[in-house]
Amino acid sequence: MKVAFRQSMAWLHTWCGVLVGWALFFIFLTGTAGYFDTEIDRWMQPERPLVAEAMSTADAVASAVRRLQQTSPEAARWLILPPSGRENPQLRIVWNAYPKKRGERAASGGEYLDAVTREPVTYRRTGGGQLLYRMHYRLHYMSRGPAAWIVGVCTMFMLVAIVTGVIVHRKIFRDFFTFRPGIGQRSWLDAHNMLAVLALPFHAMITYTGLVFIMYLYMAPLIAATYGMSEQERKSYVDVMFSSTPGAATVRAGVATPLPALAPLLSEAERQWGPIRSVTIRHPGDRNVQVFIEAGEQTLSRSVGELRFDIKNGVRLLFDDDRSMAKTTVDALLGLHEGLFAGPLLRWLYFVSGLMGTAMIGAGLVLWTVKRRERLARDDKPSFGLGLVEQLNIGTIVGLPVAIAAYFWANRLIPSHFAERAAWEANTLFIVWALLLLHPIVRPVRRAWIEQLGLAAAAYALLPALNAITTDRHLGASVPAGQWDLAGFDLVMLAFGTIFAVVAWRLMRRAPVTAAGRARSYTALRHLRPAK
Amino acid sequence: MMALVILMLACAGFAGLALAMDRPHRQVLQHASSAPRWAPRLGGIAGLALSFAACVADAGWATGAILWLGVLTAGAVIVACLLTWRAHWLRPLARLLEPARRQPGRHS
Repeated sequence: MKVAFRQSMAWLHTWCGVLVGWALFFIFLTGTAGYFDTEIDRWMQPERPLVAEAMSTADAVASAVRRLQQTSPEAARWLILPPSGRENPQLRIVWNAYPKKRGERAASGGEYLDAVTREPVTYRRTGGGQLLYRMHYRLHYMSRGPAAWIVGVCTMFMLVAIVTGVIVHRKIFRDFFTFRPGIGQRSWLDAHNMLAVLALPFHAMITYTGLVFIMYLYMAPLIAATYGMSEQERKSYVDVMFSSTPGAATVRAGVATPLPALAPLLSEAERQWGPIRSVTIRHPGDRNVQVFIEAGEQTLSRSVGELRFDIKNGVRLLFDDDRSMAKTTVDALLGLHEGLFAGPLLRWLYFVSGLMGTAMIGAGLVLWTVKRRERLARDDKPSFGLGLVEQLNIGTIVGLPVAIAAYFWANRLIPSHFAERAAWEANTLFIVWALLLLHPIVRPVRRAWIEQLGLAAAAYALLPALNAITTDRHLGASVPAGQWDLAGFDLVMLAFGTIFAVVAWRLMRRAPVTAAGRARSYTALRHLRPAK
Repeated sequence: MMALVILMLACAGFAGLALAMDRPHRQVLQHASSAPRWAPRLGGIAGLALSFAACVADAGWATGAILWLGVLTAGAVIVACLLTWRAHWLRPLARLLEPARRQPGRHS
C-alpha cells in the first residue's frame, strides 16, 4: 500500500514536472530577475546621471508642481515621486487627465526631471527590468487574461510537484547535505533534491502566493456568490480588492482655487515618518483638491503610511489602516511574493532562492532525460519523446539565459533614435530564444549543450565589455564612484559568464557516457553509500 | 556587518548539525563513528537559534522570521558546498567538538 502510494506520487511528480517544466523555468527565471528590476532599469538607461544629485523633498515637490502646472493644469490627478531610496532614484512626475466619457481610459503621461536644471530629461526607451518582471506573469505577447490562466495552471502543477516531491523524497534529513558530483543520474537526482529541499520554504511560498495573485480568476464563482453578479456589485468587489484608497474619490467642484501651500504638509509628513515616497494631488486647481502623502517604507503587508489632507475643510486625516483582516492577510501574502519590503540582504536571499528554484526545475528536466538515456542500450536510438525533451531542455535551460543576455545586448546596440527600440529589445529576446530552441534539432545532443553553454559564457562575460565600449557607465566608472547598483549588474553578469564557461569546459573535457564509465560510476556510488 | 554575523551563525549551526550526521562526519574526519554526537548537534541547534535571534534583532519579528528562512537556505547551501568540495575546511570545527564525545563513561 505504502509502496504503491509512493510510486503513484512519483509518477505524478514526474509528469507534472515534465509537462510544464519549460514554462516554469521561464516563469522562475524572469521572475527572479524581477527582484532586481530597478537595478536592471538603471543599467538599461545609462544616460541617467552616474551619481544622483541630492535634492530636498520640498524642493523636488516644488519643482514638480511648477512643471505640472505648465504641462497639465487641468489634470484629474498629479503624482509626484521625489528621489527616495531604491524604487525612485530620480524625481518623476505622472499626470492623469479626466476621462472624456464614462468608463473610458483617461489620457496620462509622465516625465523624469533633471536634478540640476529641473527640466524634463529623456532617456533611451527601454522595457528595463520591469519588462522582465512583467513577463513572468504576462508572457509578454499575450493579453492579461489568457496569460494569467496559463501561468496559473503551470503554478498549480508546480504546487502539486512540490507536495508530491516531498512525499517521494525518502531521506530528506539524511540526504540534507548530500551531493555526489560526476556519477551521472545519481548526481542529477542529488542536485535536484538539494536545490529543492534547501530552499523549500521559498519554493512553497512563492508558488502558493503566486496562485493567490490570480485567485480572482479561479475563484470567480465564489466572488460572484459573495458580492453578487450585477455591474455595481462587481465594482464594489474590485474597489475592496484593488483600490488602495477605497471611498476616497471625490468629484470636482468646478470652482477654480489656487493650489494650497504643500511645504507645511510635507514637513508634517516627514516629521511623522522620515522620508516620503510620493505625493498625490487629486483635482489640482479645484476647490475640492485633496492631497495624499505616502510614507517611504513599505511593510510586509504592502501597507504604507498615508496622510490625507482635505484642503477645503482644512482638516488633516491620519490614514488609519481600514483594510479588513482578510484583505490584510491577502496583501501580506502578495507582499511576501513581491519582496518589496526586503532590505539588501533579504533581497539577495530572494534572488539566490529564485535561482535555486530555476536550477531545480532545470535539474529535474535533465534528470528525466538522463534516466532514460542510461536505460538505453549502446546502439539504441532514443525515442521521439526523449529526443524532443532533450532538445527543449537545451534550448530552454541554456537558450533562455542566452536570450535574456541578448535582451541586454539589444539595449546597448539598438540606436536610441530607433522608433520601436523598446519593443525590439523584447523581440530580440524571443527571436534568439526561438533560434536556440531550433539549434539542437540540427546538432548532436552533446555538441548542442557545449555550443550553447559556450555561447552563454561569451554572451554574459562580454556584457561588461560591451557596456564599457558603448557607454561611460562601465565598471571603471561605477566602482570608483561607489555606485554598487550599477557595478553589481556588470559583476553579476561576469559571474554568470564564468559559471557557464566552467560548465561548458567541464562538459567538453568529460568523455561521453559509455558502458564502462557507467560501471565505474556505480562502483563509486557503492563506495559512497554508508556501510551497513 | 550584521548580515555577515547572521550568515556565519547559520553556517556554523548547519555545520554542527552536519557533523552530527554519519556521512558528513565521515567526509570531514575520514573515519566512521557510530557513537551519538551530542556536542555538534546541540552546538548546531544553538547556532541556528542564535541566528534567529540575530535576524529578529536586526529586522523585527515579522521580517526577521522571513529573513531567517532565507538565511537558513543560504547557510545550508554553503555547508553543503563545503562538504562536497572542501570538506577538510570543517575539520578544525569538528576537532573542537570531538573531545566532548570522548568523555569517559559516556556512550562508550
